[in-house]
Amino acid sequence: MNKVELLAPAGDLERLKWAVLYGADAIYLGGENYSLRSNAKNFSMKDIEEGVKYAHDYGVKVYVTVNIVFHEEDYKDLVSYLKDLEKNKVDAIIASDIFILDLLKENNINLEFHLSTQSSCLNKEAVKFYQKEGVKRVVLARECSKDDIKNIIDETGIDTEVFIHGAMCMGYSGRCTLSNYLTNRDSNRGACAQICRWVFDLYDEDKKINKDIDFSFSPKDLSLINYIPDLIDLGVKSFKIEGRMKSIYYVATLLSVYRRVIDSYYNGTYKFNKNDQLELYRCTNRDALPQYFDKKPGVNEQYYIGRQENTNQDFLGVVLEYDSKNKEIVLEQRNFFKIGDTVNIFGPKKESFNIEVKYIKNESGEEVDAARHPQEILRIPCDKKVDKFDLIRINFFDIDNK
Amino acid sequence: MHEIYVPLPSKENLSLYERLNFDGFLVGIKGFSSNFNYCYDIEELKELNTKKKVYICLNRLYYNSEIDDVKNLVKELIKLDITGICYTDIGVLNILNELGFDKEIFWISNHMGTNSKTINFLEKRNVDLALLSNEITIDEIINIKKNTNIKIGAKLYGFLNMATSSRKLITNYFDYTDTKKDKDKYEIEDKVKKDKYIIVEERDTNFFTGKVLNGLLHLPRLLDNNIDFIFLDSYMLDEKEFYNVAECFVLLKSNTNDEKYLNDLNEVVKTNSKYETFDGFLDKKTVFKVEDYE
Repeated sequence: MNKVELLAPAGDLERLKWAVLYGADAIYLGGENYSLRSNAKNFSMKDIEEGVKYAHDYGVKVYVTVNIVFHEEDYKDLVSYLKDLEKNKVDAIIASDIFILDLLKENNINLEFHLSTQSSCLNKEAVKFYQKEGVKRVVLARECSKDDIKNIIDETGIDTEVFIHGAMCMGYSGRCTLSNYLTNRDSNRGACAQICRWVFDLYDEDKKINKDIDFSFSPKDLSLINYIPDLIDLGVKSFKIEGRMKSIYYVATLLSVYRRVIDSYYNGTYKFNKNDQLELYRCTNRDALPQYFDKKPGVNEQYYIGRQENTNQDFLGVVLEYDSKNKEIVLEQRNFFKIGDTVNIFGPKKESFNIEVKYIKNESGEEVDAARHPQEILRIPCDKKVDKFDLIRINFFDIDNK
Repeated sequence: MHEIYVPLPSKENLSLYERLNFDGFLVGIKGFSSNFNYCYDIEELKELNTKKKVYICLNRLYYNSEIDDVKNLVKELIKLDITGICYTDIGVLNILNELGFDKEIFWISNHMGTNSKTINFLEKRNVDLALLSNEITIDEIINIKKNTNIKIGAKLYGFLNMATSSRKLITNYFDYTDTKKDKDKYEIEDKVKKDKYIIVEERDTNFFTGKVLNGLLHLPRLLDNNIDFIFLDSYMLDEKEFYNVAECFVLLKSNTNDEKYLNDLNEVVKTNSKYETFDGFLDKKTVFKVEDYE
């Protein structure tokens, strides 16, 4: 039985390396052009080359998004770009504009084509169309239910990629141009202004009818953490995590949770663990629900109160090394913690554990009462060996489970 | 060729529209089309008596659970005396090709028709006409026309669809606020700019501009550049007023060189437009790189 692929986002080379480390089977990323995160840092071709080499060394695949909806002015250098991706051994492109299928054939470019979710592929007839054109994999529309996914796989046998976690679009992907109309920023060319996070007044004719609660249409996030066994049994080939703009903490946390759950299903030890949900929820500080998978989303799948997406301060530090002689963790600080706090340490493919912070030393070896300065190098005691790139976070398990 | 297509009006107004020099009707079909004032069922279509072209519009995205019904519908439509079928979901194109549909296939691109290469790809898969995205400029429309072989058209009048969600966004809001939803169409207002937009909940929820696109002044240039057809959309508009507007486009088609005439007709269009009109993106490019909008 082939194991399902866990596909992680990477906004830059650093995050690619973290994703590889934390258990991704494949990474997707965007180049400096033709990608739907036009204002993210993204990857230069040199970065892509380095990223592919790094990932392949660990047996991890790399897919590059070429998923804008092209205008006449956007073709420039596209063929040479695709040839460079082929030369650099990218495993596939994720694209939505179908002319690229012909472009690959006409130019003898041997790149696997994965259909982007931007195409809003919802049904088996659409899948059959793409299949005949040589599309190897379809990223199904996020509006597909469990029954839809099952029927599409059963009827077509195509490789399917399904989003399992991350932010949701309010509209059908590719079919929302609110950003164009309200801000002149082209949503289908990577400049979406996320109008679905705005709030509006609601009018019936000329009468304003919203009183205390503004009209909004912001969806909560998606999480299929409780449906991993179902998705594997359906025959889905790849589980995709959304979030090329997200932090290393986000990528590492999500990968560690999903990696653990997927592996436990295959080795027969899977059981529902509410801490999995808690870890995912705390990571983004947003509600995450199955959305379309188990039913059509209703009122509970949206936010209505002008919710601010404040980043929490769970992420405390990155392990730089373990000093075995003194039994101390050397760390780089990210957020405030103090002596007496209990913190949780997690890392790639390992169980997390708690320790109490009995002292904190700064780089000069002086004891301090708290870790106050971002990126300060500090030491805390820990009897258990940890590894470079393990992460330290607030012990929210005890707090939230009380 | 320069044809003009409009939505099939209500049965009461059909004879009126039949007299005007339009070239074809886009027809909404009950349960399978969206954004039409009137949708018809198969039996009504069998009785439709018109000398104009008839394109049946399957202009939605379809869930997997609906697609077999779409296929069965297409089998019925094939038997009718129609000019062609419009599609938005590429699954419908697959059905049409699998069934050997030998009439015209018309792509209603719905935001996606922004370049010639995609249209050339579709030409090889039997597509005959393409209605371009509303989010491109006149220059882009002209360039696409130059670089393609099939019939190319643009929408030049009507509210513009901005987005489609499969969520019941109005119902959900009223559920959340525990208030009663009286209708399916409301307006939303941007709190900063105070611009209004229309939101309509049917099977899906659709967002529309609050202003009506009026591209009459751009028509001469499109005609000079051999645009094949234009689409004038009556959705959410009064049919009689729309008729008067459409008549201006028909009249202008035969006399594009008289600037005064053009401006006079444009005044007639404005007079018959209850809503404020605008040029949409016909004269405005969208941006997508930070340096473009800084």
